[in-house]
Amino acid sequence: MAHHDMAKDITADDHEHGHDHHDHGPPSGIMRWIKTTNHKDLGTLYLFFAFTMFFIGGLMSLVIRAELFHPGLQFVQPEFFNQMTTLHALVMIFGGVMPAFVGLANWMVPMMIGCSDLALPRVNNWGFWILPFAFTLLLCTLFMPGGGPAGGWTMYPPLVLQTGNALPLLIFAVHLMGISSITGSINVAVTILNMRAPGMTLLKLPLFVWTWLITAYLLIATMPVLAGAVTMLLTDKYFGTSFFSAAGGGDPVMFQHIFWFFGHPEVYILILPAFGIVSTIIPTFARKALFGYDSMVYAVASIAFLSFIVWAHHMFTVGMPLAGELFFMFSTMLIAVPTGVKVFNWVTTMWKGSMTFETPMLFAIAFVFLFTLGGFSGLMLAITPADFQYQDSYFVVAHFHYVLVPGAVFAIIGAVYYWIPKWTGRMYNETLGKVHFWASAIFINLTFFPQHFLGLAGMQRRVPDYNVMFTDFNVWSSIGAFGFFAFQFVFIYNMLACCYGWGGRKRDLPARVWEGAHGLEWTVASPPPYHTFEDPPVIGEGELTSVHDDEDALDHHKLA
Amino acid sequence: MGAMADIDPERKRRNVILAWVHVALAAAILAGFVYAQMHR
Repeated sequence: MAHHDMAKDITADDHEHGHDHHDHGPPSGIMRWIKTTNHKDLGTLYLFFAFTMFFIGGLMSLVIRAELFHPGLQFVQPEFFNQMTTLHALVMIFGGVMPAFVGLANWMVPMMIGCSDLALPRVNNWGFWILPFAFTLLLCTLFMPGGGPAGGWTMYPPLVLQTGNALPLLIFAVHLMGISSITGSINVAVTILNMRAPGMTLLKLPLFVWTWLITAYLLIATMPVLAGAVTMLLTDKYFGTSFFSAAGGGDPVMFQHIFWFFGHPEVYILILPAFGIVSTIIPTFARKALFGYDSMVYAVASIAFLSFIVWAHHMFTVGMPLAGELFFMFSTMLIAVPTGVKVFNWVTTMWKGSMTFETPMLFAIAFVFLFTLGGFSGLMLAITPADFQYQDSYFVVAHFHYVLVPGAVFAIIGAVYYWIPKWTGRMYNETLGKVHFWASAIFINLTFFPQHFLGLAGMQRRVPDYNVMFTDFNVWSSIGAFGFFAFQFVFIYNMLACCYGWGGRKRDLPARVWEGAHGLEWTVASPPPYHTFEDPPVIGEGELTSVHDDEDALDHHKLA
Repeated sequence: MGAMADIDPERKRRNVILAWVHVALAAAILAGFVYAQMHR
């Protein structure tokens, strides 16, 4: 479908809703999308970009799983296999999960805090349009002589310095992604700090907004460090410096420290907005206020602080003083405390709630259960002496995929199901949604649960071949991966059907699509007008009760 | 003409100031990082 059709379909023009006194309707044609400064347009662009990247990164994971279906080399050479593992990670992290969260923030933050747009709309346009260039640079390395980067997404020297002509393209792509992330996060932070509707005090902000505010600061604090580190790689390779070369007086382990000083907060950049999404969905379908709103905010802030002092748990086997190993072990374990607070609050929100199980709620509940499972394996990995056994094994692969796929990705999928009726004015097909959920939940566990056993039995990560004793679990894992990928087309169909009105879907939804939903975004029409809240809204009595009605919650318990 | 044209000039000015404060924060982190690397 042509872009201008999508323009008409996704966002209603102003005349339909009478919210606007000016001629602010979207222009038509491709130039709308190139020149747009509208937060809803850019949110849509971010989400389409992210799902394109999820598809490309998913195809790479299928190459990996096809090769690992059986021991021995079947389909690809080891060099190409290593390029797939490296690019799969970079594409999924920087191209999939992060842009998806920025897209959700673009769409929802202004509507949730009652302002007309992000604080810096032109910067917003620039931040998005950097990304296609960054990923074109990164992915076109696959077609260069010598292929793409193959040293792992962590880019450890000296291995990464063996990369051929792809290295400067990789580094420039990382710079571009960093610029995009920093501009995006500055925009979100300034918007939240300066553009809130009257009466929307900080401790009344929806949890999704809070988690994004904290995520924005994590990005601002860590992205410059990553940019510095990869620039030092560039100068080591091409300008004769020896930052990370032992022969020249440098220290290769220093890169690992710098990388993970960025890398561990990055892990929380990938999960904090997911916490916000789950904290939004669960109260709606439990028809209760979020339990412990304040403690949720403090828990997120604590996790963000702790994320800066745990980085060396990624490097326990690299050779650190015992005091260092102990510090990083205990600081890592501390993260379980605020995370436990959050899990407790989600479960307690559901306790004695009038629960229904629409698709977004199913994904949110799966998130709570499966993310916690990934958290438990994280605690196992945090134990320094045990980590000497687990390091670089499939146990690590199982751990971080549990927190990232049924964690971050399930939250993104749940968020899209939850908000797409608001965005398009059309309801998705609930039966297809449930089919998609159950197939995804089953296949994702089939993919990653056996990898725990593979890792404990000693299978190394980042290898295209393995001992025959690992065959059975690898077969199950590969079947799971192909099944999971296949069923995502059900999701894509279901969402595109909402965008384009396939199957005769009507725009007949009320402003408050979900009866249990609270917040300013549910006070505007579905779909919302092109510009919302040009006049600051009056926050209605009880509209923000999803964040602050402990008294109501107590009354509910008395009634029950 | 975007929606931002309608917001009050004082808030717009604060937006720009806040944005530059954050850019300065990112630049300071980068500068601190470079300084630390040059003096270790």
